[in-house]
Amino acid sequence: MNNLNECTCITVNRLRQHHGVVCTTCNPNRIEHLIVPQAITAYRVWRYDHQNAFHKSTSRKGWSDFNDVLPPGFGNEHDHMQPWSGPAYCMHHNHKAPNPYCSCGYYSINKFGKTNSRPFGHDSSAQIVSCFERLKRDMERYEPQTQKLLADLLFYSPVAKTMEILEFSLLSEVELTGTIVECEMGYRSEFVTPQKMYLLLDIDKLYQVTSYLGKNLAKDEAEIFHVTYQWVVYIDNYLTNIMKLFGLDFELRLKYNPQFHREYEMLNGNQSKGSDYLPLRDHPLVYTKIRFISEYMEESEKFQFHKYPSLSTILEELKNDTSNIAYLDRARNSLAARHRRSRWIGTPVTLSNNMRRDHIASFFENYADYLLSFAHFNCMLSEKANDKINLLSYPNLTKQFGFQYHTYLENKYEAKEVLDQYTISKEHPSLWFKNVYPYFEQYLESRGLNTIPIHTKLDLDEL
Amino acid sequence: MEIGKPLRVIEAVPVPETAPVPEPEKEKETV
Repeated sequence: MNNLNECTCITVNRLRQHHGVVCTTCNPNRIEHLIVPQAITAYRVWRYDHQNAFHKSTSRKGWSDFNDVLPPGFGNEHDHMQPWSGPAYCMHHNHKAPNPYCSCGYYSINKFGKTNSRPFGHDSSAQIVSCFERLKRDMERYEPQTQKLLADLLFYSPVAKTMEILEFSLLSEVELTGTIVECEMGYRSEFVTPQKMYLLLDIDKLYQVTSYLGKNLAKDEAEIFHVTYQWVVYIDNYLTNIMKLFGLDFELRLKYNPQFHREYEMLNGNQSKGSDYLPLRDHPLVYTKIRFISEYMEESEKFQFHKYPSLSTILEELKNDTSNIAYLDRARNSLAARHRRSRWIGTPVTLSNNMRRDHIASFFENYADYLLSFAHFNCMLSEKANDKINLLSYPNLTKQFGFQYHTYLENKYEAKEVLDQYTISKEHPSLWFKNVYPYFEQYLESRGLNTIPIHTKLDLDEL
Repeated sequence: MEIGKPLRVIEAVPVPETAPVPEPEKEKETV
């Protein structure tokens, strides 16, 4: 049953029809809302980045964010770490959102796994590939030896590869309540409540990334498969742990193309949700074949005596790089370059950020700080004891991180500093993850998991 | 995000699923 007349105008409102705006010419009378006694299930994506999670004030905003979320400092119902909290808000007019004649409200669509338009597409692998394409262009400027060192680190370390992804979309299944404008392909709604988060990936595209890195190092196919599978499992664990902070379940889904693998039947129902994406553990190709390759490789001699790339060795060898020395002579002491160096802590340092303005060895020290901070944060998310200040206080996690870090940190800190509870190391997550970390502390406090948050440990009266 | 032409405007008010309250037993009529 519809309570709207179909728009027959060609000129009026023609441009805004895809945003579900009701035409005033064809619907001149007041619209009586139809009452539905249940919430409506739909799907939408949220932008996610490692440092700020869903927080919007520091990253770029799209027009949809302006329609959805109040700016920081307005209203009490909005939790800025959860852009779905509170009712929708219209940035343009003073009316309740969603207004049928406006384009405001929380947007969502009714189909799971839609991949058409890129910013709102549900598959995040294109965003991941674009990050690595930029990195590829930057890496090719270095000397072959430097390229090899960096590729070696990225190839084996799922932490380094994940950190290189600046921003990606997380798909969520949402429940819509309140006033809803139902449209052909989706909805504009007053309230939106995420039920579960998904990350949709195409393993072929991740394989492309790892095979590019492996090509420099002359790796065979089995090893590339192994590394890709480990990366997928790592992303699954990392996001499952992060989503706990938001009280949400997480599921990683991978694309499955039944045309290429005819021996399997495509699952339907909740397993595929009418899309091409299957959960990792239901995937007939990844969870059987590629997992077996990965397990075999892990047991093989190649990996049992494998030496993971070491941060201290990489740093030593990078000092010999001369690829951008001519450029540096001119630019390294400029005011802008000095300013940029002074504000390293807290800004994301990925390998594609270097832009040839610093020597790769001095840049790598900053990069290693961020990398270790990200790795440290991963430990904190998965462990129950989260009050360890230095990464050296944890057991050796070289195999999980995919790089050796003990020598690097031991060169940097004395034993006294590692044990000192009041000195925060330069790579502590609280310095790098300025929006997520306080939120993480709040979460721990509410669960009674951590005894004292790090910021309140220094009592000024005692000094 | 393309959501197409509007079809209808609704008000989704989820009704909480509550277990039916058992009726109190009637007192036996005494003759």
